[in-house]
Amino acid sequence: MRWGMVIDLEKCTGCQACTTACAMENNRLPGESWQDVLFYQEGEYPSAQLKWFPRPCFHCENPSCMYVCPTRATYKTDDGVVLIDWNKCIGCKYCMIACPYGVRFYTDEKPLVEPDIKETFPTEGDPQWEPPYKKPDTVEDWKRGVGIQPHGVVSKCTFCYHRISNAPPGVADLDPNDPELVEYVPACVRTCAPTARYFGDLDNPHSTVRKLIADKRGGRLLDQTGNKPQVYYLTGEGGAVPAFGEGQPTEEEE
Amino acid sequence: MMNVQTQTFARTAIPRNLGVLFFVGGLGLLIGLGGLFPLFLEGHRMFNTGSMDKMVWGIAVVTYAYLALASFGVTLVTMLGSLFRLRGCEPLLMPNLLLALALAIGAVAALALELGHPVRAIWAMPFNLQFRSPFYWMGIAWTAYLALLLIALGLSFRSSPGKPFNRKLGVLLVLAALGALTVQALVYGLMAMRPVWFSSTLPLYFLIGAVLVGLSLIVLFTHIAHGFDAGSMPEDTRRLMADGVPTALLTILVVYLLATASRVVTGLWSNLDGHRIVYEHLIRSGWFHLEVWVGLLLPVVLLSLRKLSARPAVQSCAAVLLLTAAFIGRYEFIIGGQRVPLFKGTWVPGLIDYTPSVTEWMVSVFAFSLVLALYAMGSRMIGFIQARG
Amino acid sequence: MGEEKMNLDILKAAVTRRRFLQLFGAAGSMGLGGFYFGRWPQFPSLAQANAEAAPLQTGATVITKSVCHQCPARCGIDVYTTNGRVHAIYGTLDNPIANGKLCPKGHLGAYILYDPDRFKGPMKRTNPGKGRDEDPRFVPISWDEALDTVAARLNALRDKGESHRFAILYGRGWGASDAGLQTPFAKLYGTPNVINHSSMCADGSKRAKHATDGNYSYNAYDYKNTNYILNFGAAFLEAFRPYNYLMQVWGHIRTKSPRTKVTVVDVHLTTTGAAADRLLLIKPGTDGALALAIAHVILTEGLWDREFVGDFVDGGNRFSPGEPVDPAVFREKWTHGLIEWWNHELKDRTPRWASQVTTIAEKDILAVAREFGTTRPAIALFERGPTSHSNGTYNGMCIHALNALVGSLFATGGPMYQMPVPYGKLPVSFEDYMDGYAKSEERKKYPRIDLAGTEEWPLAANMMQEVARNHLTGKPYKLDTVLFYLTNPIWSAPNPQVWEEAFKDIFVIDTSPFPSETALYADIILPDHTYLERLQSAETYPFEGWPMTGLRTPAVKPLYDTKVYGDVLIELGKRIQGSTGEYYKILDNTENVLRHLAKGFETNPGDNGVNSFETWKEKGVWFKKPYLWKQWRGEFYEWDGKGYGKRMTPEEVKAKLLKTPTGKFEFDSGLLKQHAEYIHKKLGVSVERVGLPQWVPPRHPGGGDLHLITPKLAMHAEGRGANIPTAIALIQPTMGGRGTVYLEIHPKAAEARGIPNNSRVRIKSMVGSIEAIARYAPGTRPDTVVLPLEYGHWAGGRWAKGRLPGHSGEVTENQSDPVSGLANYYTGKVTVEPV
Repeated sequence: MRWGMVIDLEKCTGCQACTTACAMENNRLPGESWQDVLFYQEGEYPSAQLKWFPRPCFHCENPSCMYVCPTRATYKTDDGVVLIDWNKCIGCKYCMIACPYGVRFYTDEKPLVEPDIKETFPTEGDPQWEPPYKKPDTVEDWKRGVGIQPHGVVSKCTFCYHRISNAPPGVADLDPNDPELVEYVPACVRTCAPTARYFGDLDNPHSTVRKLIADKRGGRLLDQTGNKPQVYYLTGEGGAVPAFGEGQPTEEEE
Repeated sequence: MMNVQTQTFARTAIPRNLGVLFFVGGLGLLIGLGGLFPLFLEGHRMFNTGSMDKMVWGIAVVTYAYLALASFGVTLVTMLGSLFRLRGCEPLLMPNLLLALALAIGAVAALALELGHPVRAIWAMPFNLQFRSPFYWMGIAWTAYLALLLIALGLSFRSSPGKPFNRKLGVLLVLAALGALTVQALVYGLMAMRPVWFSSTLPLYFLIGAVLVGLSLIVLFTHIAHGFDAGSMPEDTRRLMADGVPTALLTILVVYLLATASRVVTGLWSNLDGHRIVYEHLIRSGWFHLEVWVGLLLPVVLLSLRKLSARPAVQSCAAVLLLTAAFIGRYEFIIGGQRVPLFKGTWVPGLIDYTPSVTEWMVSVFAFSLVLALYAMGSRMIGFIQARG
Repeated sequence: MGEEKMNLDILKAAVTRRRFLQLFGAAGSMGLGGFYFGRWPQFPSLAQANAEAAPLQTGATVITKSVCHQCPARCGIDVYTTNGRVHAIYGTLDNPIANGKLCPKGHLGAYILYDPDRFKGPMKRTNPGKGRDEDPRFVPISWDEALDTVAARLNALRDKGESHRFAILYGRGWGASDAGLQTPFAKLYGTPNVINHSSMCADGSKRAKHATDGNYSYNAYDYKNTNYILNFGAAFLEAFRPYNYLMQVWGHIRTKSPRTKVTVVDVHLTTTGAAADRLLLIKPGTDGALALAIAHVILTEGLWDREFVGDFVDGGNRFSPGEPVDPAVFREKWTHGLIEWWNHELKDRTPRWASQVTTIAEKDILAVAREFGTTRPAIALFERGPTSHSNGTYNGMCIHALNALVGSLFATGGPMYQMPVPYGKLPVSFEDYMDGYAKSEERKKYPRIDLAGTEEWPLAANMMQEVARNHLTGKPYKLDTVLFYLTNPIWSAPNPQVWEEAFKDIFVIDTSPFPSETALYADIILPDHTYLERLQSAETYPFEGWPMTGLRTPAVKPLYDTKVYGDVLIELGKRIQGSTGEYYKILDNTENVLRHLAKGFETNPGDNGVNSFETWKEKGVWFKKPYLWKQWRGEFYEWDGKGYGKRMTPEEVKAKLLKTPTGKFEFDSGLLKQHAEYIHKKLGVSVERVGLPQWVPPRHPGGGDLHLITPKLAMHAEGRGANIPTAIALIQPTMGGRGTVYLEIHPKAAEARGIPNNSRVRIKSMVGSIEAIARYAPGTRPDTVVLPLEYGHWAGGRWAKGRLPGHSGEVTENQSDPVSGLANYYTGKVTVEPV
């Protein structure tokens, strides 16, 4: 059992619904996008190019973030998901240095949007804030990095572990169109309007995700780092995966 | 002989200018603590670091790395001098160990101010045994290093004057410092996803830098302790400081320059994505030129001129320049390695900009002042103990 | 720069009271949250309200079916509530628009419900002075006092015979249980002024379709089965409705067999254009010229659909560039006026001519024309991009004519129109309760304040953008009282500075639950529920043709002392003197209204089994497939219960589908011919040619040298996006706009003006000037700058207020297409200079 995701860039419309669904499902702060969509522009009018790709945590087979963590706060579950134990994280941010994909977030930072929403919905306890729309307390699971983040720790996408971990055992794919399974599907996969995302068991040769990777030549980002993501991209006729994220390809220094 | 040593000890044990050091350190501590108030109140949001379009590690980590390497450098230079029985070293042994300890504590303090949960680190690191993490080994090396430093200092107190330093302990200290330094370098050197850092020879580069900084600090603090008056030093020490030390400093400086040059040339030559762009940015910055021309090449000139290089004032001046250059170099290395954002889109500029916040600077002010204050306080205590003993 | 920031940080630290208290153990809620910078009165804060709610521990999670409120699409949503708190919103799986999915805005609903700047109850103004910087000094009042105050005012106006001086201005109403109650209210009360925002929305598209195929409506489309989409300026993947469904369609059509090819014609680089097979960046306002050239090629190369349009009697093709054709040799089938169109317009509209007008390369025009002409089914779609110009209706007609040429109207994979919902009847008919005053001749004397439908704007349905100007000049009269519902024209109208001046002496009633510029001008606030607290119907916008209507059911009890707008109208109605009050006493409340509407489902059960008010609530939507009509190979058929088996007569087609004077698709519009003199006077088109889809050069006001385009972005959460931090954080991803929107400018255009990248600029037109941060966007046309509409609010909440850049409306002149009345938002020219 090894959960994995397939993202079809030919279908992805760059709408960021995955990002807002994730923000809602996981009570993320504004701009703290566990599931981000990255845009790149190249060329010039009238032949300019605009491309994008969504980027969750890749839950790598060989996660460099896990190996640099001095306290094993970052760990890999038996079903192949990389999680952070907020009770163990010391906030050294080494994992943020070591993740080649930039998917990790520290909590205590200047807010992207002022005034700070944490001040609008304050709390006196350990978590950083308490919005009225936060998940029920029963979903909080700090050992797995799920819930409202406490101070001084690092967070990242959990593949919605609080959802997928309740899925019926042995299921090959979490199909968001199946009323029986929809509540176990990660938020980003569930809401993806063009169905650019698929979620399933990469160890199961009969799963849709495996079949898609085979049929549509699924590829992974930055394979040379050896991290071996468990998120595959299909590029079809549209979409593209940039070779390396140098931010804006055009030099902005001058 | 006996008399000379006793006399010497008395002089070195209560160095001059302690009051000045204590005042500067104390004032710095006050300013630092005051300046850190927002950090205690508001947490790390007072830093200009961040996950989204900012540096992950800022000047607090630079300060930590700088002070740590400085401590390792002072220890290495001192212990090597002692192990090789360099004449004139003995009087400097205890002040140097004290300096190394003060630097180490300053480094740990800077790190503690950077960590999200410094206290948790104390139990979570040893109990979770992540053998693959350089931080884990860093913890072990640090613990060993600090313990050995304390033992060495303690032994120095108890031992009768003139008795040579315990060689086994010296070897252990050298090994601990080298180990800590190597792990510290590998924290960066292992990062294949960060081309500016990724290098298996990084420990060597760090070692060169550590020795340079260590030697510079020894020169500077020895002169401060002797009121910039070579005449007040014991004869052997005076000779060492006038002759051997500038040659050694010049030698390590030339090696450091070569290492720096090779890194910059590699950076500018490289086609590797995310590598050259950083070095191009680097050579456009004024700090880099200050570092190279004033911080490194001017001391080469100062130390090369035999007539000048023996003078305490010139040596101290060169040491200050080198310490500044090394700090800029450390800053460029750690910040430069993070300038290229990893997988961020159009919303992050090509290179990440970074200006430390006032609060972050206060971490540096606090840590550096702590070093001064501890050193001054330690020296004073040694003086009392020695006086009583 | 860094230094300044740091000092500020220290300052902030010093004043962050909460943290300070926390540090020194004096913790406790000091009631800091929940106020609008002290401007609004101190109702219980949100924190307090939360504290009163049950703690979030265990408890069953309830899913309530509702309808999203963040664009007009009407996606069905599942609202997840635990212990009385909403914590998640997902698309409803068995809702035909949502299909379990949502767009990025859909998930923001809880942030709107728990918006800390919400109004907590009815309020009245105590400071008579009005303006941007005037504190209204609102004080809370009871609902009774609020409703009595308004009713007394309305009754007093009526007593003076001045009831026409009361107007309702409304925006995106939802249906029968809110906006639908307004017209009866106005009729009973005696005012012609129920004015919708459609003239600031997309009336041009509706009028273009009205002029050509007789339907004053947006189109529904059979996207799933189309093989070609030629999209003129509709942000299919950003803002076009129903956005969520369009993205579902996108995933389908781009991977189906055969893959649907997409060409996008737009004035700036969008995700829609980037995702398409081809993006043509056209000169603003010239879409009509491009469509004409495409039509020209379709005819000269013989690619038109002979089964729908007809053919030369001898089967040959006499369409040759520049050559007139004898009308006698062509026999038209479902179209009218093709040869007149060719002879008097099309024959000279060659790709070469169009390339000069549009700046699109001739080879690209040819390629698109050939693809569009040879791929069936194909859709040519457009909305306000090409139509919000002085020549907008004609641009739209040129584009819509392409659908006729390739025979896609009402065909599989083509455009069609939306069927109405077979609602039940209300318990009373308002006509029966109109009193002598309301029915008097005196009442008929007064035109609407916006002069829509008068000789000033004979073809316009609404002219909201004219209201402020007309009030100021007193022509036709001055307003006394205005009720706003779901619209904020004091900010959103073109050149809203005029509104700021005009509304100083008008008694303003705002019904929004949120602070806004209009609310800042309000004399009384009658706050609505937010949508997750409402019971409200939402009939679908044009979608796939078959009828559908959603229902909002409250997911939580109203957090504050608010009242749903439908009930506000009914309660006001009960307080109006005479028989009006009687009518509203019977109508009673919106739930009663909805229960009566739902009675219609008893005889018309939906495909999902909805046959009553209760089942409607349970499922959240009623719908009934199929669409009843289909055009196939030049013949029209009607659904007979099993299939499209009933062939329609031309009379039936005219009555139900092609509702033009001729009952055909008109390439020579009968509607426009009826207004030939007016159009001639306003646009200079010769009287004989007014009916033809044709090229009319646009007028670009503003006095500048760069076109200013102000698109709506995907994160524009209907009216509230500017005060939702999560939306602000993600607003303009293509340009790196996180926390703000940037002015997109071509580097060469910027350099010519001395504007560095990422620097502050001033945007000026004849009517105003605003500031923005310019960012180099090499994909932008060098003659065009792009500033998304979103910020520049001077009210609206803690996050909205004062957020740069300035508001694009303030540099937009109030110019309208004389035919449709549509405000020309995307046509103005500005100058941009460094600050």
